[in-house]
Amino acid sequence: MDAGTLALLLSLLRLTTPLCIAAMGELVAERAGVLNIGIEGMMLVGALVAFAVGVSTGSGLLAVLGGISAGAALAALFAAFVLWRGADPIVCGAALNLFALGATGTFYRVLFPPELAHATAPQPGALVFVVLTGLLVLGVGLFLARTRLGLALRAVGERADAAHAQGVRVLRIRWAATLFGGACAGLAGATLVLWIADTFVEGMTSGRGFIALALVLFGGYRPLRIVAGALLFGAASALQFRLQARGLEIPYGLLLMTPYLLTLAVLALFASRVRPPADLARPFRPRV
Amino acid sequence: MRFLCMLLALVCLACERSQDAQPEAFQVGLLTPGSIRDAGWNQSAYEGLLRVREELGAEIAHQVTRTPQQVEEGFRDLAARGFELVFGHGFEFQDAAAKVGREYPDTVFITTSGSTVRPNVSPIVFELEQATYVLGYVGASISRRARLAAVGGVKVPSVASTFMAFEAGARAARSTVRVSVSYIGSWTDVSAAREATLAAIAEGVDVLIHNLNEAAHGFFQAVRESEGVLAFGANRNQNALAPEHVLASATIDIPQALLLVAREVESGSFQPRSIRFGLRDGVIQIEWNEGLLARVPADVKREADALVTRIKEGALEVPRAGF
Amino acid sequence: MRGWRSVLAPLGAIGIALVALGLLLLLLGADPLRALGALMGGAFGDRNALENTLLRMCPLLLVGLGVALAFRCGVWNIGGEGQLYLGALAASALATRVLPDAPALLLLPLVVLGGALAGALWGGIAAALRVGRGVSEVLSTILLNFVALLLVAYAVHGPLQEASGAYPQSDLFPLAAQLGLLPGTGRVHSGLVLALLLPAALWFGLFRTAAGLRLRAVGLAPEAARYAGIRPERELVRVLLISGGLAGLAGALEVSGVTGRLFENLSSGYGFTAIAVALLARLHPLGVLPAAAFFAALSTGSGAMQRVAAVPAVTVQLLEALVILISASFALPRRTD
Repeated sequence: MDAGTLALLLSLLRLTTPLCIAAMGELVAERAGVLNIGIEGMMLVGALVAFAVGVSTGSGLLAVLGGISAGAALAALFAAFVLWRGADPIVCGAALNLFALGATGTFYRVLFPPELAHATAPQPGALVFVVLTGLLVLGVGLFLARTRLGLALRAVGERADAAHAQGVRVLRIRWAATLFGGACAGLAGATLVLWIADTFVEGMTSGRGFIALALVLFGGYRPLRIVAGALLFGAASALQFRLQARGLEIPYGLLLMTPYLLTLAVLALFASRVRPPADLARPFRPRV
Repeated sequence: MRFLCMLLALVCLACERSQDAQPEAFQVGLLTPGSIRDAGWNQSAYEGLLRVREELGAEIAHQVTRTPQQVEEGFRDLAARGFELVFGHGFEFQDAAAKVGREYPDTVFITTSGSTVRPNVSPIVFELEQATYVLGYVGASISRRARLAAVGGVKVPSVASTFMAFEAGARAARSTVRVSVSYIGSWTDVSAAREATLAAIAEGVDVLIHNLNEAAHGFFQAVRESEGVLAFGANRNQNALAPEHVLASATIDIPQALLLVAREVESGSFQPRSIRFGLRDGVIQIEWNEGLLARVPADVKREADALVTRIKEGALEVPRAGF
Repeated sequence: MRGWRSVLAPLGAIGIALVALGLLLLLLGADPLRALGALMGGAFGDRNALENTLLRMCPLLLVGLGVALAFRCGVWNIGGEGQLYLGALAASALATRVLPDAPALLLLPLVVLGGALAGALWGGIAAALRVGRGVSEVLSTILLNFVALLLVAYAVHGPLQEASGAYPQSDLFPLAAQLGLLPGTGRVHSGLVLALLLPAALWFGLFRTAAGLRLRAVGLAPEAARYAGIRPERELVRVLLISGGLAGLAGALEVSGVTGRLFENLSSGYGFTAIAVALLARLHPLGVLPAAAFFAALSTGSGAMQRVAAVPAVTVQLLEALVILISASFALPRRTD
């Protein structure tokens, strides 16, 4: 493989990996019936905490763990509002994105005054994150398709009432799925500062959480197809940068739209195969 | 219910407190379109506001305004509270400045960039093009493959104009040079900036400039990891971000510009006009990375210095987009 | 007692949210009294503040009404933001490109109507996907939001960019396409009157007409409604068209009554806040009025918190989000059960 191909491949991996990680988390949450549009915010919080931990300890491992826990912590807040209080998941997700933008901005300024703005996070290396992503995709795929717990989780997403009647702890599973989704988003955010870039800036997720959201649909709730979708979107951006660098005028405004348009097209054309869980975003209250 | 009453009482108390104590100090406000920790455009303006407070003892107020309506609200409220001077940091503040300026003739509204001039409304125009022109000239002279690139955030006139001058400077040095321009469609997407920069380098580019805010970190990261590539910083002195690669930065001393205008307004000598700052005033500068100057042939450096002198004397008009 | 509860619960939620806000400010080292004072002053303190709040209330009211109506019918239209942007886009295209020379008397109605229709069309896409292909409107409207936002960004950098080609914004609307001001105000456009009349009209439509009954019946029990001879699909299409139309109207009023141009960042998330408005109003058309006023006040007041109390913008954002979270989740309207 020559250097140019290798560079393109690496670029593709960098553009794809965070999307895949976040999308796997969202997949599990949605399969359990929890629509979490707050992953953008959870990624952002994961990125800041991973950066702060990484800079202060110098340890990539601790930074990754920090990012994961931060994403899960914000997901716990989301779950508290949505699953415990029964609040609307869309409002909460949208508000949490705003909250995360504000919270990361506030704490970034407290932790990193302008003198410290050039701090860089440790870089554990591309291989770590690529392998981690591979394992995650494999694990999620096997878990959903082959395990009893995965079956129960899907049942909760399809028909919470029926699952409840069969003795499945609906809320407990939804809590766990939400936390897992948040943890993945946090990991995706950590990837951003520990590999894709080496520093944190306010709002650095730049809509990746929303693209991950679209990807779950685009891939029809199947892990491998989601990865394929992520590779497709990643390849499109990598190609776009190359074309611009060759001096082509690209209407990048229209290009930014493609993930959403393609997902809508997939929904319209293959609706029967892209069926979301029936109880997605429906509240569940056990009748005692 | 008792709880609500208490809350109401608390709120009344709060309103009461905010109304007393009207100071006599010179009051200066600033509206920025984005975060004041963007390591670029907005952060410099906020530093300027702090400088105005420090040097003139002014009372200051700042607001981030993201929608046209917030801009108007910010301008109007500050003017109504008797602020003598309000800066709107960008071209997008012109409409509101003209509109609110009519209602509050005693407040001076300054937009940084733009062309709208009214009795109490004026734009500051930063002629960063003068610096990027010279850098384009230097870049084309030292590029081994005659391939240059510029990476921008969003295609707004001020950014496109600096790139246009960069390209013009490059062509003045070497007519065969190729300059490609990429936009990433965001000011904050560090990763996209890195990929766009790497893509340009993979296409054979060996000298680059940027006009990005936060996302500039990605630009410099890409430059750091690429052998034999030179780059220029923009807006602030970014030579330290990649000391082995950044040859020079085209800088705007926004704090100095704001301070100069604030002094005029405070002393009452302010005249409405298009306030232009360029190399001549020292507000725009080319800051060289001393450690890398050896990479520039002596005659190229001499020619660059001569260009700077000619621009300062007004003998050379640098092309800029009409905005 | 139940009636009281439905008023007291949202009020209590607002109270809790404000207390939480004060505590958080204290924690962040700001003076909470000064900040809250600035918030109140910025929302109601003087005439300017009051006019700002009224102006912001207009889109929240219109989009919030549409959301409340849709949710009542069991249709989760999350696409208010996109529908609003599309309305603004269509209105701007009409006013600056298609019809700038239309007779003055016709121009304004056409522009406003065009905006509403475009919003309805954007809602209609979601309806078609749901009815025709079984695609959940929650997901399609989220996707359509992004498409609409990016479409507007593309338009102001491309086909709708001002003639001089300098800035990413549309040309200024011709005077005949701009809404007049309400007499006695400095900036409040006449569209607000329409917005203020709509809650009562929709209340009447929803609770006093057969069409409203059908719509509510579908929301309460779609299958039972089907037995009663109502076709839920038809109601769904209808309510998404109305809901999208209201949001599109809000967008048209923003460009023709407030800014006079199309910009990329026209809306400060009105479409999302409007969902909180509808929930705080417990999906009642009349309740949308005070709920929209509350969120409008929060949004104007938060600007003043930055200017007067020097609370950083990011912190204000955090506080605003917290208030939305708490008020929308403690006011708990009942969804499908």
